[in-house]
Amino acid sequence: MSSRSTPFLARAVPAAQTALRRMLRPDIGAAILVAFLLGLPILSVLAQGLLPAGRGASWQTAEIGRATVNSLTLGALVTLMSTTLAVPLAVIAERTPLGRIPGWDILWVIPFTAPPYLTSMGWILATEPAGGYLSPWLATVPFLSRALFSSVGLAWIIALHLFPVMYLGLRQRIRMVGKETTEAARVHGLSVWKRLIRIDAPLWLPAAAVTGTIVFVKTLGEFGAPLIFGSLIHFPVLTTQIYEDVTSWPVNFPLAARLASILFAAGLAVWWLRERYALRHQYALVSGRSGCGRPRRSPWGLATAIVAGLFVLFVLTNALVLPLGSILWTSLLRVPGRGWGWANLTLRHYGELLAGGRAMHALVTTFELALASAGIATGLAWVLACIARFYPTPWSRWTDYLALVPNTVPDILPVIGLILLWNAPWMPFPLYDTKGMLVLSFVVLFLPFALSYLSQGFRSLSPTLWEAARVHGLGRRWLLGRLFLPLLAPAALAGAVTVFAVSFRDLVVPMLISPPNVQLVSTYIYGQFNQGSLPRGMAMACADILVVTASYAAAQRAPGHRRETARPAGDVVPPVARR
Amino acid sequence: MKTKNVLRRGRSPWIATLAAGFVLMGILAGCATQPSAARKVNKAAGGQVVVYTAGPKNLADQLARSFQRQTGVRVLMFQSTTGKVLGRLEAESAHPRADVVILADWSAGDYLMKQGLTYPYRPHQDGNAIWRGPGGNYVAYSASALGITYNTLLVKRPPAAWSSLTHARFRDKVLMPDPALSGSAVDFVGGYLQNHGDSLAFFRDLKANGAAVQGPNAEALDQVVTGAKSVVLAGVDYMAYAARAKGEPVNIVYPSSGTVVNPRPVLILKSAPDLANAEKFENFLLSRAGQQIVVKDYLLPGVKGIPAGPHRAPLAKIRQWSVDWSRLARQKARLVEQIDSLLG
Repeated sequence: MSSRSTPFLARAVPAAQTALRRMLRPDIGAAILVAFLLGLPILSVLAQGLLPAGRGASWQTAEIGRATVNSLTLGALVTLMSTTLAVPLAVIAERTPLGRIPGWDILWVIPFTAPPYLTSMGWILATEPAGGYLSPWLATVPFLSRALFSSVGLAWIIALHLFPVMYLGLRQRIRMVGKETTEAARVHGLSVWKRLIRIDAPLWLPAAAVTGTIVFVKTLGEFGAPLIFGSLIHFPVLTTQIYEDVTSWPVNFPLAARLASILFAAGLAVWWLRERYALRHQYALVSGRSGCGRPRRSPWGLATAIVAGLFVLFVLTNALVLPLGSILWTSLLRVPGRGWGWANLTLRHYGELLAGGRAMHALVTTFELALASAGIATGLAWVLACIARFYPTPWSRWTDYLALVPNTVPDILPVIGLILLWNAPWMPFPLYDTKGMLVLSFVVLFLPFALSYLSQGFRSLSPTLWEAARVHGLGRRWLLGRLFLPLLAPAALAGAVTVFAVSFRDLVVPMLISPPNVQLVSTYIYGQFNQGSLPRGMAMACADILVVTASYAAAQRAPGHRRETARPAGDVVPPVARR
Repeated sequence: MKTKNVLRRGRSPWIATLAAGFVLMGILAGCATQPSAARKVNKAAGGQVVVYTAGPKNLADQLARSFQRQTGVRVLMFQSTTGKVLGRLEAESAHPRADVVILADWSAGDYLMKQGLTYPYRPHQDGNAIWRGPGGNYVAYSASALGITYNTLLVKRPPAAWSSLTHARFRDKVLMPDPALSGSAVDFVGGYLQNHGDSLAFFRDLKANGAAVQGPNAEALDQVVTGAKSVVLAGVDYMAYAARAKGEPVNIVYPSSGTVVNPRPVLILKSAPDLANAEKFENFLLSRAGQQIVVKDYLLPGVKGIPAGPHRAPLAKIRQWSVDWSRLARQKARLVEQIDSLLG
């Protein structure tokens, strides 16, 4: 026996040594790390979802079918609604003086930063058929109340959250295309409408397609609004069905995995279609802006002004005033039932929030975890970005692709994967059911923010800089410490703040994997909304929106960030808006 | 252009320090979360007990605090609904963590027993317990009853029977919690059908009278508090009493023909990592101190000889339907669908 095994060992040991040495190569090591953190969870979902059912699990095809159809319908509706909101808004922003109002673009980022589960609560409080603040008025318009409290209303809420992604992309595209082509067409006598249809629309379409795809895929992955609003109108979608299958008795992990795989497949299919489309419809513009001779401003007549103003007001009301207003209003009520009147207004709920106890505890815990996630994600992103820079091998390229995957797949997919992996009977590390598991999930999900900021930063550094440093004999360590660290710190900071903000507001992770005794801001609000004190929950919601919006604004304004790293010409969507 | 930017050092070192500090802080916070939790556990001399609980949040918090004060045992809680607690137990079956499970549904206790997950234990107060599962596998620490919650400003003459709600004076004024979101609403429908020959006629009449289902229990109650609706059909009594105590214009009646009283089971898991503390906790729940907290939150006590308190109707004043809980549990999904398609 031993004589036979010796030659095997003699061969195996050096092979193992080589393998080990290879693993120590940073690029391969990073690839293995990312594959373990992210690739393995996703693979375990797909494996569970695609393999035939074990131990007689029932597939409940009716449920799968209904959830899939609902998700796709919702995606289509939201994309349509976002387009109707974003296109006119982008045109108004670029072609009328309204767009030059200071703070205009920041204003449109707020609906995007407020998490949709909160705006859903705002809409429910304002419009539900029995007892909404606005329901007496809504009831006077036939069908409106019924329409708002249906899948159309749900799509409207999500569209009001996602349209800024489309708006920002389109606005930039319109600016890039410039007005020369339209101007030429005008000179040649084309009417306004012909110009719009034959000249402008085709040129804007690529940006609309990219951002529309993002909106569609993000709607498929949207969890908060369908959870809060969808459960009231009995509209299960893939994400909420997955959540039910994983958390409610009877638990059915294989079914959840299958639903997640459908979600994944639908997302991939949409991206693939878009790529096909993009290949076929590429318009090379002869030049960018001509620069010489300012093109004539379009006529800013009274009628246009009124229509544009009314439209902006309409969007503002729906996206900001109504949902956030009703949240704020509820948080100020002494007794929710009593309604209007000075006597019923109070700041007590904010006092209770600050006084400590459960609410403050949730706030502090969320701060801690979001901060930890931001730090770890940024550290990891530094490592990955540096490895990609110093070891430009296929390994590091694949690592980069893989690490950016959470950007394009619905959040719930990696989360289910992480549960399957870390809760597996054979898993030796007891991380599941601890706060560490929350941090790990945030890091895995939101690493793309930190990474895309940093790698864009790296890319924007001129190669001559690097060459000059090498010529002067700077080693890698010095290069890192003296050159990259200071230059890329703003990008890293912006990434970290973004990771902090999205972790802070996240609902998917805490809902699915909170350990006992741990309550985060989002689960606290959810609990108070469902059975507890509405005003207390909404006071927390206001605090949440304030923290998240402030962090986003900080990330956008990080010193030097705009100048050096933001929005290279080819990139339509700023990294912040990707989610 | 870019090189120029790069060579201009400006504030960069500050930013670098700031960024590095942020990263470091984050990593430290990440490392700190775990050990600090562990330290807290060690600090409590009596160790810890992990409790998964469905039911009113305040009650669970008060019970935990009081138990911790009395015994020095730290309570780690997961608070959710019965379905979610059962789901979590199932999901964690590979690494069981919970010691004690508190549910809001009597049949769920039976379900866990039949799964072979429960640890038979007879608490000190077992002889006095009002509701007991077979073999000491589970026991009720409290109970809640369903009734008709009404707005006292809008309803001067409270309805005496369920069928009163189909009268013209309650047209468009009746709201029932959505059975898809409220376990107690399913209990009501199931209990009603079992005691009325499985006839849906009552629910059809309700529909004809403009009754609606909407939201979970708290939301249905809110609609009546605000006056948007006049009555909640199958309102949970302790919630109505709690709202009344806060000064809201609501009250509750129990129809004389009978209603559902759902005992809330507590049980110890066979897989409990800390059986001794689990037993301590169950004993505390049934002790006088534990029952006082139950009563203070307007629930029915689970132990004989504990008065229900001056602010609510005692069990003796509520006529109960006899309910076959295991049959009800089997029918749940179908009931939800039936009622939602009828009233939704």
